[in-house]
Amino acid sequence: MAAAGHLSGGRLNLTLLREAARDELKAVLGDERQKKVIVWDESLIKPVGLIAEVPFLKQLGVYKMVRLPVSNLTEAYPEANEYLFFTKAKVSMVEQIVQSIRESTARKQQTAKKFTVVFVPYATQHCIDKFEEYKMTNGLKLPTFEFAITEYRLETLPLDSDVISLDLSTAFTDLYLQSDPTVVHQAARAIGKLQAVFGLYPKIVGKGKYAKDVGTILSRMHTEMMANPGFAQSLKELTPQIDMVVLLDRTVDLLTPLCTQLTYEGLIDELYGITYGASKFPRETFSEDVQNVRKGDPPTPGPLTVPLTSEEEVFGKLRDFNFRKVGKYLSSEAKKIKEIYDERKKAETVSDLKQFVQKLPHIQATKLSLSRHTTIAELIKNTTDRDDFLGMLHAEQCLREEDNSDKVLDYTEKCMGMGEPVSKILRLMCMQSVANGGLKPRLMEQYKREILQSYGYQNLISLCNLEKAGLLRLQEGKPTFPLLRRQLRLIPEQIDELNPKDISYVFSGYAPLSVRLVETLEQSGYQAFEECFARDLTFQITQDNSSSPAQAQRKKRLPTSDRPQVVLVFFLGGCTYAEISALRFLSEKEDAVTEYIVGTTHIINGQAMVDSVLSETPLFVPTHLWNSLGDEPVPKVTASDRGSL
Amino acid sequence: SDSGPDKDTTVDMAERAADIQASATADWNPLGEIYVKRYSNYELDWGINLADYLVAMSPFAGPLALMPKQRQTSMKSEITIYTLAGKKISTITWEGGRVIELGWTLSENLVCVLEDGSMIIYDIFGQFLYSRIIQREIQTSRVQECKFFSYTDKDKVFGGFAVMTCNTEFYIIVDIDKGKDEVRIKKLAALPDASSKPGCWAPLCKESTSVIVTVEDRVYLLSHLDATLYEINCGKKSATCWMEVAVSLNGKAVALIDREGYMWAGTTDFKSSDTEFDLQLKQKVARVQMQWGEMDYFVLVIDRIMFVKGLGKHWCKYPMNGPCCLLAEVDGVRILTNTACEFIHRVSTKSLNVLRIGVMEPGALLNDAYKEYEGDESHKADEFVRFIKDKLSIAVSQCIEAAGEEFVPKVQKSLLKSANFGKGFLGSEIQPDLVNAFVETCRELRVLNSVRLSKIGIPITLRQYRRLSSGVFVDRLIYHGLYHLALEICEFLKIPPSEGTVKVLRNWALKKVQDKSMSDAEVAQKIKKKLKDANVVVSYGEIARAAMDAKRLTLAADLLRNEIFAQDQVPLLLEMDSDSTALEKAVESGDPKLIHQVLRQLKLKLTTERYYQMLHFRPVAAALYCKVLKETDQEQLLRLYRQESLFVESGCMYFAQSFTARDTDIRKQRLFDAQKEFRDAQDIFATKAIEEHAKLTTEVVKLGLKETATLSEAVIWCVKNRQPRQAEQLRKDFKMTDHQYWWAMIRGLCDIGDYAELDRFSKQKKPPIGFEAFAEVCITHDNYREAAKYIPKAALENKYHLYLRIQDYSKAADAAFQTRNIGGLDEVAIKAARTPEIVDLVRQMKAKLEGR
Repeated sequence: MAAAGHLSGGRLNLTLLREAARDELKAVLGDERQKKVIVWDESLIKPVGLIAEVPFLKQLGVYKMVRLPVSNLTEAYPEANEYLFFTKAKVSMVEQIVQSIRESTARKQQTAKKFTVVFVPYATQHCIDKFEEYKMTNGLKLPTFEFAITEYRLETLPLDSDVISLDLSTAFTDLYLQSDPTVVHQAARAIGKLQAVFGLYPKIVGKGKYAKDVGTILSRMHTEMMANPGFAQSLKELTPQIDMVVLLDRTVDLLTPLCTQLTYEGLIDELYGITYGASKFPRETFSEDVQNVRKGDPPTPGPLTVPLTSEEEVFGKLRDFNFRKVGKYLSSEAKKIKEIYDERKKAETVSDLKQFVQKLPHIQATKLSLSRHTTIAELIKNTTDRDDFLGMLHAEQCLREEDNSDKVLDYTEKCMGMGEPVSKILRLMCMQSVANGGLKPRLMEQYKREILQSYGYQNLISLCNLEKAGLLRLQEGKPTFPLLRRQLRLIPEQIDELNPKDISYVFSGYAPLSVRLVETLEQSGYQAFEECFARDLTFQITQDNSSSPAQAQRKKRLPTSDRPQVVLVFFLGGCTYAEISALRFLSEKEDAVTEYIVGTTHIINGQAMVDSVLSETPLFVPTHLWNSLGDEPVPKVTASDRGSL
Repeated sequence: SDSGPDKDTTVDMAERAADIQASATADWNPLGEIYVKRYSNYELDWGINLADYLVAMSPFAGPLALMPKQRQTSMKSEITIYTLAGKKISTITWEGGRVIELGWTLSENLVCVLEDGSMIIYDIFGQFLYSRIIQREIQTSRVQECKFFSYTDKDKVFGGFAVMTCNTEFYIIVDIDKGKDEVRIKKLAALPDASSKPGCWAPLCKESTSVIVTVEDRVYLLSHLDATLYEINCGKKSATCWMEVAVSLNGKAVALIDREGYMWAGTTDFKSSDTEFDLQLKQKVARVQMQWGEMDYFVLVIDRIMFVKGLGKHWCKYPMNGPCCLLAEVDGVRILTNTACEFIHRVSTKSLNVLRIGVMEPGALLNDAYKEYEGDESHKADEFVRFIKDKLSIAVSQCIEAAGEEFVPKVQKSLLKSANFGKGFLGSEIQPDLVNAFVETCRELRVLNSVRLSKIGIPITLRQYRRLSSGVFVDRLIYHGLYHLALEICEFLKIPPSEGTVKVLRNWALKKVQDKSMSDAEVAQKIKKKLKDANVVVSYGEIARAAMDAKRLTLAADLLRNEIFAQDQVPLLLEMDSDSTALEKAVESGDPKLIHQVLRQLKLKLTTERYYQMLHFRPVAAALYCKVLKETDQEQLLRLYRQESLFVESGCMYFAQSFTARDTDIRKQRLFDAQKEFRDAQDIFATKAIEEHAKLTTEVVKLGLKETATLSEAVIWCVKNRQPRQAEQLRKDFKMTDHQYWWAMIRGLCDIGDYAELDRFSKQKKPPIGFEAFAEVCITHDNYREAAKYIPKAALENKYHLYLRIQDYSKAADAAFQTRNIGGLDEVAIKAARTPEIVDLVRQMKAKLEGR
């Protein structure tokens, strides 16, 4: 199977998920002898591309792909029998589709054309109604026009060998701004559905309101599944591969995603943004061999897209390092490569040479990787050395380490005075509010006034929404964070970013609360996890399946570092790369008895999170990334193109 | 006491055992190589003379229907359905036309075929299922005769009926159980001798269904394509005139008889014959009934005599006391008379091996051994056992098989005991298959004995039962309403719940809700208890729906509460007008699709007011609805927000619209609306902010700036355009914070490069944002020289960084030294590596700091 090497390295074989998703896509596309045109909702190209590369789609009869909006489909591609619109369930998309279908069918057709709308991952009644307004009902069959509506339930997207995303890019605002229960249900369904592949979860624990809701739906689903004797039986026969699921509501720890991540992968995401395991960088900064062009060739326009998955050995190592360690690692690896090349010179016998030649492809690939990441690291360093960046880190550090720190006020005001992006200011404000359990009324009012005066009164809406999402609030009662800081040792006395002993290395001296909670659960048990805070929103469910011999057997043994337990940590409302790295750190510790798999509604970082809340503010332009290059002009995709979508 | 072979009764003496054997073989009748056995299942005391009735029996020991033969076309009449034991199941009052024939489908539905070409279907309880015209043409040609057929071969079971019209056209009708519109009708090719009257005919099922028709001595096979004439090579001198024809259930054998009693039997391709025989009847007969038993014998009834005709010349006969009816089963022929329900069948080899007198098969010897053992002649028993020592497994298996063939529990029991006795000698060497066969047969016989009891009246044989499969058998019991029995059998036979218990209980419950003799509460309680006790999951939704169809709403609601699948529960709740509960359950399920579904229905059903009220108590549903409105109907959303007193929400929405609306007037109106909402929300800050916003917009437009300019931008603009008074005015009017005002001033002045004015401004009063800000802005304008003017006035701890940024390393080192910032000194040393004096200076400073 093509292009999925990065999924198979972990304890759970996530290629199984990809396989299942491919099978389902095959079923959606149907008869591969039918010539098909796919029309994409732009936002789906990449996620579906992770599951199905172009040659695979070609095999299934897709010969042309275009993106919405399109017109005159039938005229442009008259030889196709079927036109499939892959879209998310959004009314605005539906309207575009309706328009393009109507346009395409306005002229008289000679042959029957089939139009199929494929909702990913779900259709909503609302969208179906919209089609019906235009007399397009599912299953409509006229002599020259057929219409169908279907779903492609691509619920879980395996991003890497230990990361599953539901790819719900608006999950945070859906949950905390709109209180929309859809995300809760989608998450519960997706988590529940994994059981069909990985067996019944013996135990589910969680913290936070929505985590609890997901737990409730999961136990409901459990009852329903067990009511289906056939399904229950097949579940019982499946050896559970996941020993426990930990559900974490993002509101349990809003501070961590607001902090600037200092791991390699986290920084790339903060500065350049990572989407679906790839990121874009200024092309000209890379060497020719990395750009994959010959010397002297005319420059290719647009940024360079670099895939960032564990498939690339060097990145697999680097991604979880604190950025400070990256340079050292890269140079020592480069040295090793050089030594190997030097050995060649010493090689005297034929067999020595042969041995070297055998190693060559691997060495060359490594060399290329090192070159690529050296460039990226340099790009990052240019930013992290900047005073404004350091100033922000300093401010963040103060907020985490000191109670009611006023030092930050000056910094924040300076940023405002200098006219820095409003979302940066708001991110800091939110962080201050979250760390101190709210802002004092006077401070709040001062901030608000200054925001409105410096950035326009429309930000009144931004402020309302941030309050609604719980990121900003007035101080009342005793703040919990300072307490937790001591109780859970979130700020270590010593920090060694090069040879970390603790997860706090991911933020250079702050252990992410979310991951610390998971660690507490592992080391001190459920009661300690429960008692940390939000007791009434903490829960534990055991899915009894004791009649299953496989599970009974599993129950008996305690996890050891040879046979670790597998725990799925699921973040509702998003998680950051730094948190993933911290969980990996726990899995890879010498005496680790637990292997963590990360599930999340989507991947976030502080700016993206704040920006998503600001998206309803008029005139708001997302500026959330330091060095983001924006979207390159994308060439039209046709089936003749090689490689991934 | 006769309900099961393994129930203990005391069989004590050898004589008793011998009796049993004698009684088991007494009614055997030799027929060449084979024996036939006639067994009476039930004595009937029902006062019926079959001669006066149309009779329809159904295969696999199914029910029986009787209807008085009609003399006139439209006479009120009755169809009565009985079990084979003569117990009445139901009665249908008949007021329709003339019934030509009654018959049963494979699912035990009763079919009445009428002269006018219509067919009417009832279930065994006399419930009307459907009626239809078979085919328009038949309406005019009328039905003359009709014959039901069933076909059973290997794993195929198939059935239907054939019709002969008055103008001698033939039709085949199948798939009756599939429903009115699924019935398949096939017209067959025309009979070549259309003018002459057919002698006899019978449907023939092989690959396709056709009809055998005789005209005098000619035999035709009519398929839907063509008619084939078959020459029968028979030895009879004079010309025959066939009067009856019978086809075996597997469609492989056919038998013909003429009026003089001359018979021919052979394959259905008429190529080879097994039997040619002349009964040499004295006089021509008027009516013959003929049915195949198995492939090697068939049964005829002529006048009051029943002949069983074997292969070759062998035959035997039984006297009959009155009229009778025959029906072919897979393993024999069922005979219904005025006084009994009987079964005639060939004694199977299995029975012969054990029970035939004088046979030396291991099974027989084992049986003898057991008899001796029972009779306290254990040394003889021992001798017998030793004699068959090597074949003990075969002996046991033969006894088990023989037991399965018997109707009489005593005989079954005796044979099974013999088998068990033999099993004992096998000890641990016994094959597991044999143990299974023993257990299985015991179970099956126990089941069969219980349904054979006359109160149930299903005299099914083990072979028929196995042919039917336990699943279908349970279905039949369910269909007969014998739920209790079905349940016991499911448990006894260990049928998986989904095919057994669940199915039975589901059907039971569906029936129970129609039981009007019990109150709603009683029915509900009974159903719940039973389902709970059985510990299986049956869809309460489905049962509730049935209750609703039966117009028992309270019962339906009660039952529906127990449904665990929300998607089976919620739609029904809506139908029952339990709106609030429907919404509650949908919300509980967390399934947005379900919630949407309910909301849609409610919106259509309720007044807006009531609908909003409903949402008020279900915030999750409300949130979902709001999300939809946000995409589709903002006006409605605003109404909802106001209704719910969510003034901040509506305020924000209006405010957002004041930016996005195209029309200027609308924008103004929206701003006004927003302010009102915030006022209602008692948000003083926001109310004032909007007021200021409106004022600012007017001001900036006056200045010639774009509408969306911020206060800071406006102040900077003023500074840049040398309108300091204007800037000052803005500051006052909008109570701009000191900090932001100073920043704006500095930025404005730096933007236009008026550093002299900047200097003046810095000296006006002590800057509230410190001199650092001056330096900072100068640095961002790349003017290090100007920046350097302000750094000395900055706070000590900030100097180091600022000097570093303007690359004044010696001063940076100085600042670092003063703040004892060793790391800072190192940094300076790195940055100033090319200037040895500074590196040297740093070294000295470090030494000083570290030395102390």
